[in-house]
Amino acid sequence: MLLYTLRRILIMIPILIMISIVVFSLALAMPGDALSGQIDPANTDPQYVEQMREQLGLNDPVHVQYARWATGVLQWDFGRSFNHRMPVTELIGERLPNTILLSVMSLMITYVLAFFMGRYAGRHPYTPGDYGIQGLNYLMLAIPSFVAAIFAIFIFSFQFGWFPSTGSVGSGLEAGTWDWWVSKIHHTALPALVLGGLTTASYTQFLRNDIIENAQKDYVRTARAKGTPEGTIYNKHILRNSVIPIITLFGFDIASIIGGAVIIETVFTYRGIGELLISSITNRDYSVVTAITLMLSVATLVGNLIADLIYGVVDPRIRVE
Amino acid sequence: MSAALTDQERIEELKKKAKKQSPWAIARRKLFRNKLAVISLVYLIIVVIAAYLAPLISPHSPTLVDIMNRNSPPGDGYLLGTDRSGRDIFTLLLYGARTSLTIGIVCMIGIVLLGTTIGSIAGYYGGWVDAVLMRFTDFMMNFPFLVFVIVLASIFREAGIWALILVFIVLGWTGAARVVRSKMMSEKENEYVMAAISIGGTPFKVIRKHLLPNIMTTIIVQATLLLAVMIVAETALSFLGFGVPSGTPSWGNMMQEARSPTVIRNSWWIWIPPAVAITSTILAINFIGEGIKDAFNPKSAR
Repeated sequence: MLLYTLRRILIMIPILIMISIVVFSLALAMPGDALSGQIDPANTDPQYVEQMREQLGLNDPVHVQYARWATGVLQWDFGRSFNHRMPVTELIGERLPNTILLSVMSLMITYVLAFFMGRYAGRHPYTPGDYGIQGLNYLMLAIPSFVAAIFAIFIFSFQFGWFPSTGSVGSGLEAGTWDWWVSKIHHTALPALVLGGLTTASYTQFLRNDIIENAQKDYVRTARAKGTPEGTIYNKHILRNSVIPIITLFGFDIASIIGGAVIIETVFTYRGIGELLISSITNRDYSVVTAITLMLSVATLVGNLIADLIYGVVDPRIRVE
Repeated sequence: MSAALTDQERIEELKKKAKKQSPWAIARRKLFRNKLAVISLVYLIIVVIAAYLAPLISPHSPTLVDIMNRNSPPGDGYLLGTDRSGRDIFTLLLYGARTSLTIGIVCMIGIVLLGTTIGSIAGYYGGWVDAVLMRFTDFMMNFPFLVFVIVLASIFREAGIWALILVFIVLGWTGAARVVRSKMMSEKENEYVMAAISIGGTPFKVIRKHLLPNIMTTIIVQATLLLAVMIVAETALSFLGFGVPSGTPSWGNMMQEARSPTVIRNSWWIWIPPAVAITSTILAINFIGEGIKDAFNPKSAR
């Protein structure tokens, strides 16, 4: 297992370098100064721009610029945000906890919902309850996340007034206090419900089909023949086998979770990384865009790696290649 | 009378039967027996016709701005009301359907062509060709689709709709390529492929004439799924303000009005029509895709 892990991590290094080159090329293609973020995007005086470019080394050969930028990134230096007047790392550090909270809550919602719905539908296939769950799944797969978010705001925030429709925490609360945390969770609940609820569909379907398939297998027949109660067969024998594959699903899903988070955060003006990405593009704050693009790509890569590793633990066959 | 039939006639009869039982015929019969798929197909055809006949059907011009009737609820000369700048929602919905469907269909065709080409080459040749192409595909898959679409679309914002379509195609082909490749690899082990090669068929001819027809069902199913994904991607991107230029009506641009909480709260007629249109269209496409998959599956007995 250790050897397998090391090998997987070693393979990642060249991929990381290639990703960084792609992101760097994108940064060069962006208008203005997307690497250091020190040229005022509003000042279009050619003399000022040329002077700053010379000063920041933006007229150097491409490989020199890449080396300088990559060295900075390795030292956790992504330049400065012109709009926010602070280092990009600091800005992202402010927003990252919100996005992590949102992702963790939505993942929890996904797993809890998928577990109960998938278990029910798998144990009682082709019954009205199963058809109801399947219908719900089809709807959740079809409805785009921003549409679902707007419906959720309309119903839960405006009609019922249960959840706030914008922001990530109430104003006038001191960070770290009990009230602050309650407000934070209250603000995160609705976006997390939308984000988590929509991803539930594929997980539920996966669990349901796996349970139905497992129920046909010999070990289940053996258990039945021994006189094991039906509840024990489903909850102990089958569920243990069927739950494992869905644990690893999220790692492969991480790219779509990130994409979903960008949209959901923007709709709810939830102050996370995704909202920062969109507002930075709108405000032409391209150094922030470069940093977030790189971070999210690396997050996807790491997510895939973790999924592979967990899969390797769960299913020893795939470690042997 | 069957007893009066000669052998020759019986053979003809069997031949006819055999002809009727071609896989495509079986699939079509199964598809048309699937009520959900048929209803979805009818619905989708109506949407497509309405979209492309928009100039004939729509009661107003999409650029007509009625200053006296801004943000007015349904009724009163406007079937579905007007938006905040005084444009007719129903008209926008029809023209928007045209934009969103066209982008979805063009992207789907582009992705299917690119994905099938790369997947076929990788699967057919195997070896180092396959290794290089698949490492490249895996590499492309590392990029979170939506984030890169947003960043690229914002860089090429001035270049218009075709640049947007190109961005979707360049970032979207990986899944299709992988599916086609794995199908191709298992299909080329068949003896008819060896026969085709041994009589001197060039790789291009073997792939196009012999292999592709046999994996066509997979490609069709993949294409329907892609159509749904691309329509969602376009609407999401336009909703965020990075997609279709804001002057062009599209379902995503219509939803963009709902970025403002006051619109969500007070002017439901502005955002509910495009929201329902997008969701129902995607639902219909998914049902059709599911139906086609089922119809071509020899194990399903429907």
